[in-house]
Amino acid sequence: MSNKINPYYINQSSTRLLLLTFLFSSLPHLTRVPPLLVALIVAFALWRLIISRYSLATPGIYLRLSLIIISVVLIFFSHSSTIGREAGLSMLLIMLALKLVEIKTKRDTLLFLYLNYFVVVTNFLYSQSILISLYLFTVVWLITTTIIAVNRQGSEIRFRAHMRVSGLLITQAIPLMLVMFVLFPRISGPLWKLPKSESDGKTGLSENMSPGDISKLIKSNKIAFRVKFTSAIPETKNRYWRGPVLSHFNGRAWTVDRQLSRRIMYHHPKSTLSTYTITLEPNYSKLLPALDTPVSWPNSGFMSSEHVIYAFQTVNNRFQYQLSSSNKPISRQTLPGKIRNRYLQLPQSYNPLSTTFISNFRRQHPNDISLVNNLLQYFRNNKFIYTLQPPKLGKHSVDEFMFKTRRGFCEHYANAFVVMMRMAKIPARVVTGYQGGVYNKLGDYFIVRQSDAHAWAEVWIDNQGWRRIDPTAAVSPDRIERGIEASLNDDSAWTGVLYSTNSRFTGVALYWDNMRNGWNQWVLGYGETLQNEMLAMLGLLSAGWLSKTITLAVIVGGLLLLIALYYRYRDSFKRVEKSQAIYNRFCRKLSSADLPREPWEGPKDYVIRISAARADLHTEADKITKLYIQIRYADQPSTEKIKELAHYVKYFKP
Amino acid sequence: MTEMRLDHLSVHKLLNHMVDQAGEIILGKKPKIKLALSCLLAGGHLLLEDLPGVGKTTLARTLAHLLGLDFKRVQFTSDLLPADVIGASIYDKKSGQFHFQHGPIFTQILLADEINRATPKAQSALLEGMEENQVSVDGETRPLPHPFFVIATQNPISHIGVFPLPESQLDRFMMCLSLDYPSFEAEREMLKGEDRRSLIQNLSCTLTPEQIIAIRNMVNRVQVSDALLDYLQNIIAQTRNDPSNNGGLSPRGSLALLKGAKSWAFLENRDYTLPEDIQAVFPSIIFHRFSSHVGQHDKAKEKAEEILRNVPVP
Repeated sequence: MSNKINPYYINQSSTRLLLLTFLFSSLPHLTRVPPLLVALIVAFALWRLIISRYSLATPGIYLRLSLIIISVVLIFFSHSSTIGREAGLSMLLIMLALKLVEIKTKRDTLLFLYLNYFVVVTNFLYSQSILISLYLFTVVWLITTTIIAVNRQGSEIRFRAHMRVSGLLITQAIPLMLVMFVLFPRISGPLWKLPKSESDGKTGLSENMSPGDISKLIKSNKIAFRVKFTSAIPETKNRYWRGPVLSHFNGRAWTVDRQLSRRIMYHHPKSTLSTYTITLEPNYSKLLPALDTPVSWPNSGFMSSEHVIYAFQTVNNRFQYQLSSSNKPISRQTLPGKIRNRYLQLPQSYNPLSTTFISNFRRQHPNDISLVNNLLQYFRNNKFIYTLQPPKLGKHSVDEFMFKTRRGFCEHYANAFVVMMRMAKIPARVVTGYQGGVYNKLGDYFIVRQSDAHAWAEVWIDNQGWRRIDPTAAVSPDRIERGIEASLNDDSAWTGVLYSTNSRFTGVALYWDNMRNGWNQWVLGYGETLQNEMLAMLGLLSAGWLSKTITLAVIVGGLLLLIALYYRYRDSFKRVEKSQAIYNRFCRKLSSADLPREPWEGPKDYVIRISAARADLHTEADKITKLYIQIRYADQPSTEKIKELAHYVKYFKP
Repeated sequence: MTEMRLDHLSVHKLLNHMVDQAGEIILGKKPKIKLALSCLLAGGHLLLEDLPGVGKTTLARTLAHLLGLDFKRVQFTSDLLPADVIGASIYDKKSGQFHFQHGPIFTQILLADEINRATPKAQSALLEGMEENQVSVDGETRPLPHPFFVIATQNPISHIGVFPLPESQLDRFMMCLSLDYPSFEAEREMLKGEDRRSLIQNLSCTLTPEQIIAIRNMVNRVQVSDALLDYLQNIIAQTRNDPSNNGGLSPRGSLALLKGAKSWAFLENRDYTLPEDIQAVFPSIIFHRFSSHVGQHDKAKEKAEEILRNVPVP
């Protein structure tokens, strides 16, 4: 090749190490970057390998510029933007891969490696779980090791030795990390919020329910929230976690009726309470699930007239709140006519068969309560089947479900039941939420997952108020008593999810979830509130972020200063001592050659006297003395000089 | 006034050249000249003590000339009054006001010739000037020029008509040197050569006052290791522990020893100090501080050597 490579040139093993480091630090990202761009990154990496393997020249400025332009264009086409989390990530990774190609100097190499730390940090924009944290911690170790290895390129020292050194470095940094973690000022506010992409898949209950919504949710094993009871734990069949109440039906989908769901200003709890704390996973909505029916709620939220708790702000981060609930139904004596009509709303010319069926049924059971009970009885007696893979339904969904397919799950039953109630002129509504939850003995809390999503009905009984009716329980009592797995008896295609949901009952899985819960609460949840509590525990008054920063800076700075001073002085002190011992050896050697140093004689005078007496010793003695003087009197006690001094004295033969 | 940018090597060359030039005038006394120069570079006042006629005044004049400083000389006699040194307010008939007539002390180098021939009253006129770089006359404080050096010569105490300088004033001199008789060869050369005084006029003055201040700053920056401070303090302890002394070196004395050693190291073209530097300046530092109770110069010299021999170099 015509182009000469720079004097600094990373060798092949270092190149492989760089690529390996890059691979590991960006590995979790590879699924987040479009395949085309991944291919581009891989191509750049391979190019680097070839450059190193055959000692080729790195690309020139024009080639690099055009590569940059091409990359940016490709990024723009893949993301239809060059900013935002996803596009930014692609940009970072591709530019880093390009940097890899153009590495020429040691500075380039180190810059590349330092940027890998940044790549590590960007992983936290996507996940902050224990596993990913452990993984990234290992990657940090790898990057540090690579930095050390690159700095000592060409030495005989093995990679494992570098790993030990970097491991030691990281271990030494842990106390500092803990101090920083505890004291670094947390600011509640948008500054620390993670950027959220539009395309980010949300799971959770929404404000409308169309066929299939809940069955999708049920297939998700994601945790919705965790609950810790401070009072007695209610029975499984009473653990209904209330979500959006859907009162408007358009023939196909149920939605929240804004007229009916308004903020209420006061509430008088009348019956016994369950008190509990919920740790909600971010659901990107304002819904705060609560045990049916809530009677008190956190200050950061409100209760709607349909007894659903909403937060004032969207829950984008994990959120903890305290609640209390009553196990008695909500009682209200009357339902004003206007509201009553809204709860009887049905679209015209839908489900003619059911309309006829209900008007007959109504004639048999003029009493509302007996009508409800008998309809539930009807479900029970007519071979309705609970399944997550029901056949598709047409326009007259209730008709088809009631008289043709008779297969479905909670949303079908709730839908059919509420529609028929309204046909019978009984005010009714669909309530979505979660039901049940798994108890974790280790941490004494319940885990409620998206797969626990449920839909049930509420009907208005005059003089009694809203009563919870769960038609699913009539069909498949197991669903309510034992959870969703137990109730499914016909699904084969669902085994994958089934397997994973089953496994969560094993001890290991519960232990693991307990760990995750601790991680969420104490590490990820360590925000301003918890920090203030912690500082108060340490005897520090809860301070503003400025004084926290100052405290942090003083503690960390002081700590580092002490360590630095200790090493600085310990080492130079030792070195000076050592140099004197070596010099004394030199004097002893001369003393046995009948040229002893007088105790009061300075080293320079001594060497003049030696040279005068023995001209043959002049060169050596002068060299030794000069070194000694530099170490001892010119305050330059470097290890190299001491080694040199020791070497000269060792071979000094007067 | 900006601080001169001087590099160590050229300064060293310059200073060596100065020592050489002075050596042409006071023959065979180079080490003494070097000591005198290091005293002035360390910002100290110099006392020259020897028999009359060995070249004390010549040395003082030579140094003043070489340093290119404003120079004034006061011949101290038994009837000298403080006002003769400092100056006095004189009534001006025309303006009807008192005018301060500046005395010879308002100069950069003051040669106080035969200082111990004056009465203690006149001697003490120098005190404030030497220590504070200012004089107070008629309740008014007047600053002295900068830099300000006093080079004083004195006759041996055993001579007739001398008032020995009090210890408090002796301590204000950083170093005390004696020149001794010249060697046989040196004296021969002197006898053959031109008049010394006229030679001085031919010297080129090579430094400006700003440069001298810059050099003094450089001397201050000469490095002193802990090991050397150990050595210095051991020596000082030795002077204080000796029961035959009436008290050892004062803290001002130990500062003078450190400054002198740094200055000496600087003249040796080093930026760090060695035990040898301390040993080189030590005799001249303690010479006048001890000679009053030891009595004789020779004895003071012996004493210095004895002390140095008793302290091992670390």
